[in-house]
Amino acid sequence: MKKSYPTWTVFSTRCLLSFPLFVFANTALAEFLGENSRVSIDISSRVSSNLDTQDHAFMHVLGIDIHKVFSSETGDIGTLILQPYIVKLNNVKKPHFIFDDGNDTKLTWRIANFNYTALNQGKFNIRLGHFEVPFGLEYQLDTNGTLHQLTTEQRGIKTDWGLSLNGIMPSFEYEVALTQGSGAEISNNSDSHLFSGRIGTLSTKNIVTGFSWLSGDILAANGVIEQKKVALDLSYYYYQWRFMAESSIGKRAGNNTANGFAEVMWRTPKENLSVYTQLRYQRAEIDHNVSSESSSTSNWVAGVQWMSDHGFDVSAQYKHKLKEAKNQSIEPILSVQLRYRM
Amino acid sequence: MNSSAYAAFCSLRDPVSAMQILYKDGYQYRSIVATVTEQDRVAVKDKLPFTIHQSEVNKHTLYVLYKDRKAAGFLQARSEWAKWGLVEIAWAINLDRSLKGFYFQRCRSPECNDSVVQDINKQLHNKNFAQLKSLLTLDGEALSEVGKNTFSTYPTLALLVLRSALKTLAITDISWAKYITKIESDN
Repeated sequence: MKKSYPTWTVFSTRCLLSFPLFVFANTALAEFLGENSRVSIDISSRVSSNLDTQDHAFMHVLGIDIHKVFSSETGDIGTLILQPYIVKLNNVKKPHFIFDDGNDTKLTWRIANFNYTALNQGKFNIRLGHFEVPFGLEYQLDTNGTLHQLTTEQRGIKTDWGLSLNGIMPSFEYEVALTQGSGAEISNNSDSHLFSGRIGTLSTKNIVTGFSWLSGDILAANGVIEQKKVALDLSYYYYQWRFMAESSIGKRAGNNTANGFAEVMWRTPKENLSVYTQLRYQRAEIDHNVSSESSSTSNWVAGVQWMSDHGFDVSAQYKHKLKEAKNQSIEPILSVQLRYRM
Repeated sequence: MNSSAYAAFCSLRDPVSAMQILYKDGYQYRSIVATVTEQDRVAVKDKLPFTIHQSEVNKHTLYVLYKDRKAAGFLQARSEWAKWGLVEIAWAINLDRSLKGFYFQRCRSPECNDSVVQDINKQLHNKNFAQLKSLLTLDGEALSEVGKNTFSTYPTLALLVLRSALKTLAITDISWAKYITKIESDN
């Protein structure tokens, strides 16, 4: 009788057996890309368990992270970032709509853009490709590929394809983008589009604040959804502590919405261990055309992340409801992820 | 260092604020990415009583600042461990490898405010490797008597900054030697 193994075991074994190949590919690709390039292989496996139903969903990811700066004799021209990732789902009950089903395998582009930086000492750059939608707290931090997420879920879009103007001025930073509104994939649907932006104080300081907006029709599972939103965000760093908050109001499919988010994080001095807790609140009108009645949901999240000196990253996160709406349940989800970058 | 060494490359950002503050307007910058090797780490130990952390054996960027198409200086960002977390310091270096100044790209202590930065910068301005080294004790673990007199108000922060400055100057000369030689001959 043929013995079957869990998908994660097969995936992990294949990754381990392919290790020498990855190291070779990593080095060879860096050589091929030439000067001023960086290449890294990124592997992760994640399990998310619904503690009520005991359903376990898996996501395995294998990708390449490429960073290359193009320069002339006396100045940088621009930076290319390419992050193609193969994502394998297993037993996922509600997969993102870009996947055919909960067991699909797909090539995705996490980030893929060229930022033209030769114009004015970083004050005015032009970015083209797939990049993070400039909105709120998420814009300042790199949360790609991690369990730790901020407010993306409230908007339903994290990255998008398009064009942006961005830069750092002596007292503020900005990015203004015109994108497809299609999220992870380039869309042929001409109905979707998104205009977004964030203007904030310098992210190098210990108090950072920003104003963001987005307006457009964003592609979702059942077509496009009209969204308008404005937000204020605030981050405060004090020794090993980080406090963050974001508040936004807007409209989604004609219904008024309001969102709140707060997070407290603590890190060890070497920053290899961090723990955080989040509170999320969301209020939305049920049907603006019928009445102004609204419903609200809220939940809390607690997480921990440990990073080794050698590229391993182990993280765990638990999400639990505080208040749920009639038609929108919040399941208690415990997620654990193992990630390795070389 | 620990948290950033394996960060995704989309989080890499040029130290634009530091360049604007330390070099003002009219400069262009060019990145030179070099691999800091284990041998380089050992070579720093020959110049100093301490060296860079093992997790820094990796690729790093030195920025060359140009004005009117002529090299005018360098800039490099380095991380140091403090008891409250990582401190990231962008160092502006003159062509003769003396210090032009520094900018805290990240320092989560309220002590790292603009007036402190200004005070320390004033003391470090145009000092070379030997002059900076004389501000530390022989084992590099504390401020020397001269150092204590120079930085009587913020000795702990000054020690961290000084050690960072010395490591930056040492590793710049070691890991980017061939590029610097070419830049000097082109100028």
